[in-house]
Amino acid sequence: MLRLFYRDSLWSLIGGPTIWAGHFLLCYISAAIFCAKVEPAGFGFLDLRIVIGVVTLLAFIGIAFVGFQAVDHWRRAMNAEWATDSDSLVVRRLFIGRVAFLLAGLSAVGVLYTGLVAIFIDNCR
Amino acid sequence: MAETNRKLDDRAKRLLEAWKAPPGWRYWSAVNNSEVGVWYTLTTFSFFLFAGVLALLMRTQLAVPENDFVSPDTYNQLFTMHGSVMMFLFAVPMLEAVAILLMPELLGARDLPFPRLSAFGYWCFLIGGIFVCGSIFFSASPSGGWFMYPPLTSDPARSGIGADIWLLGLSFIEVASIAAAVELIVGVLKFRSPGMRINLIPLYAWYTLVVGGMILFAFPPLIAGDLLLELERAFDWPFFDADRGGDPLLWQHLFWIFGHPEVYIIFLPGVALIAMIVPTFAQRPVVGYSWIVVAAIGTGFLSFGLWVHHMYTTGLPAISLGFFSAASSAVAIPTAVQIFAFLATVMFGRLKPAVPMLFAGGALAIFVLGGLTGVMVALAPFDWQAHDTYFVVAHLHYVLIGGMLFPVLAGVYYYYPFVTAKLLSERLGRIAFWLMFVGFNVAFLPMHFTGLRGMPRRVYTYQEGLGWDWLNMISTIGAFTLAAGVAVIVFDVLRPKGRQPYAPRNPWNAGTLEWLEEMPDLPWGVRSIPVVKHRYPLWQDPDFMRKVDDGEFYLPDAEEGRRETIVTSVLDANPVQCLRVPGPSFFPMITAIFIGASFIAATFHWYVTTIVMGVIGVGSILAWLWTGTGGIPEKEGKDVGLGLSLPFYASGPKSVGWWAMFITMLGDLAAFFSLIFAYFYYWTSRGEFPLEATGSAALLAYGGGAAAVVAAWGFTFWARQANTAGRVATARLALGLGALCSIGATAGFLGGPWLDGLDPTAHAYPAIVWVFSIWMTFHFGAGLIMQLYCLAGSLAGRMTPRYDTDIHNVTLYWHFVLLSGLLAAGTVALMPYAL
Repeated sequence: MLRLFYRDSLWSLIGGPTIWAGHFLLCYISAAIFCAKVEPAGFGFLDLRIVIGVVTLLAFIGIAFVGFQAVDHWRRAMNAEWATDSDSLVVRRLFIGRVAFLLAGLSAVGVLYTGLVAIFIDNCR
Repeated sequence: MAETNRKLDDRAKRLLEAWKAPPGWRYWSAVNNSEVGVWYTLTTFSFFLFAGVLALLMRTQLAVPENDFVSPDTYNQLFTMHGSVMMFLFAVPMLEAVAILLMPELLGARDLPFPRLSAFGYWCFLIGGIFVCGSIFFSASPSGGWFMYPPLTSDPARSGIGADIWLLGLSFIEVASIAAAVELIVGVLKFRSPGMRINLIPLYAWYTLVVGGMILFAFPPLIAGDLLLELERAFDWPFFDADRGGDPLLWQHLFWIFGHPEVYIIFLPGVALIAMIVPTFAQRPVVGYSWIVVAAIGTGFLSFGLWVHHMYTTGLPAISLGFFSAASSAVAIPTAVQIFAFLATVMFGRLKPAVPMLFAGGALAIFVLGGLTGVMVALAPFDWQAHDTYFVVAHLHYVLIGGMLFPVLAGVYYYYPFVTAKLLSERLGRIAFWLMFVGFNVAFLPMHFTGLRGMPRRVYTYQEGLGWDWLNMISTIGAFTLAAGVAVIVFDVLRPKGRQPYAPRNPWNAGTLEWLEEMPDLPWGVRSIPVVKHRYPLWQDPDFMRKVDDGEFYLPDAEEGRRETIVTSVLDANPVQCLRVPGPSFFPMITAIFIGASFIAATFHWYVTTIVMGVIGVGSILAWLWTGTGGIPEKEGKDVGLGLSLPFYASGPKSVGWWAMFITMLGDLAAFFSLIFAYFYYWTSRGEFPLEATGSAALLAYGGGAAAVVAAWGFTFWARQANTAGRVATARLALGLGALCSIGATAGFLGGPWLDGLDPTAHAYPAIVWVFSIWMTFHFGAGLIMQLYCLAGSLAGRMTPRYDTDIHNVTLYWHFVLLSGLLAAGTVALMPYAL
């Protein structure tokens, strides 16, 4: 498995929330531009829904990737845990992995909430 | 406070000498966190009392229908000042004040990384705060509500000088907030005790880290908004004037992109205090440490997706409202996680009842109620009914008083012995708590119903018989009961305690490092900087305090009589540097006075004075930097104890100054992106934007400006490389050429709109183009000063190939200017063709 986040860093914690933020901004901006500029030019609301659907799907894939990285980080720390003290490097890695994973979960919920809006709302009013 | 009942050995005496506060009138040149933190806390608390009195005046006016206790205009000033002062002069600065006071001791450090910056922030805050508050005594206060919506506030004839005082006075203070954020972020990441890995730091530090990051991205949009609104007021540039291509809703966006995260910027430090207090009184480690960290980070992010929920009634498309409603609901998840973690900690521990715990419990109860009405108003259809009614007033006070005021008061009772070595009265504390808790609910619970019965907020009076009379009377009675509770606390805090014995050391039997502090306190922070291997070292190792006191850990001495602390690595807190932090200085105060005078003069449109004061202020900053930072140490490093040798000097990403520059420039970039947002916002909201295509002469100017930015950046970068390689003469030449290119870039960016003949008062389009040029001009100017500063440093022998921190930081600055310069040129020159 590609271990993109294995490099120890505080940044790896915020992968999930950053994807949430990117997704949120893209949804907001595309809806704002669509309703102000694109719909008046004769496009249907379905086009916006497709855009939001695609962006949401990409966000889920990204978050899943981040989540798996975190679990991998966490699992490998767990495997090494038996041999070490409570204040060890391993425990710190365990912590980073767990927090990154939980944040990915929270971000997935956030992305789901945002994406659902495009299912319930069907016009620019 | 530098007395002690312990016998000090020679090492300790030297350490004490290095850290003691200056005597006599020079006391006010102190920069140490324990002095600055106390001044800061007391000042913010005074502003809180001031704003509280304003609230009582309002409640008196509203007690009975058709009252004429104050005039409508005075009432407008009262509610505007109450909101503004509570938010900008109490809630946000209080968190900074408390963090400055506590953070070094919590982390086992001797001070924060930039003590003089903390002091500068404090003096800015004091000057700006007095200026803003003082205006009400001249009936010159802002009166447009604490969120200052134009067009109510954009016409100088209608809004008077009050709006200028708000915009400039508070912008000045926001700069201080950003300075504090930089200080605290670097402090948490780099100033921890050796061994205190990122999973071992106190939760308070986690929260502060998150809040620091939030300040960096939340405050700059408001600063950008302030800039636009003040330009409209002072020079008639029509950013928010719908008749001339502007849009008043843009202000609402910029304000709430700041304003909603701000609610969490206020709330998270409050919870942070609870996260320190609850484990102490449950006498056990907090349950779900990593869950709380997740909650803090998650809330920090999600809180940026909420701003439009203040704008549900502005006619945005339903789908936009939906996104913000979704995020507003999602943020309840991490918020609740923290509260469950605290409840679990109480449940699994043995609860010792005490006043701090009472306030913490009261805070959670009130906050949960506010959170629940928050989920109600997060739903757009409900909000359409409740918007701008007293229901919202009730909701926001439940959130802020439960999320900030009660936790802070819990903190006051908990940390009072930490600051003064005396305990507050348990009996008075209980009386105060019950007065405040009951008073608060009596005051604000009825407001939900007043609101649902249709009473709008911000009305100075109401007619009899609308069903609001008795509810308002009850609220007023509650408000005065709440105030009585505050008065008891003020009395308890201020009453002389000379004959009261000192509190025992670690009076609450807490487990975290700040309680190593001696009673009475000694100014060195900790006797020796400990090795930390546990989240609650005082509980883990019963002998820990003795070892620290006996100087068994790092830096137990100050052989050279300098103030020193240890810099550690971000994740695992490995010691990497012995940093000498600066001691007392009047530069922070003097600089704040001149910069403050510059802002105040601008309020009165005395622009010559503004410029003169600004120039002196910049000169003062340069003198401060030249004399106080980046000096060459007399030796490479020292033995810090336990057989460890650490260097004194670091540059580039290894130095704290580099991180401070990086963090500051992230905030700067956030402000720049707010201007980009404004540009594209006009494009979506206005049909005729951009007005006209850029002319060919202007295109050439922008192109030349952009090329000059690239060259200025390139020469600075080259200068750094050459300096590192020991080619000092080449580095000096490159710096000189870079400075010339900075001037060229300025000419290009100002030439563009000038050649196009853009008149900024005619329409929002030329106005925003000019703003980009002015923004970049200021950045080129600062970059030019930095290049010349490095050149001077090199010529004076204070910047050498070995001691090169200045050029590293300046190059980093230019990385950011390169990015914003190219984006600015691309936007103003090319977007008229693309859009």
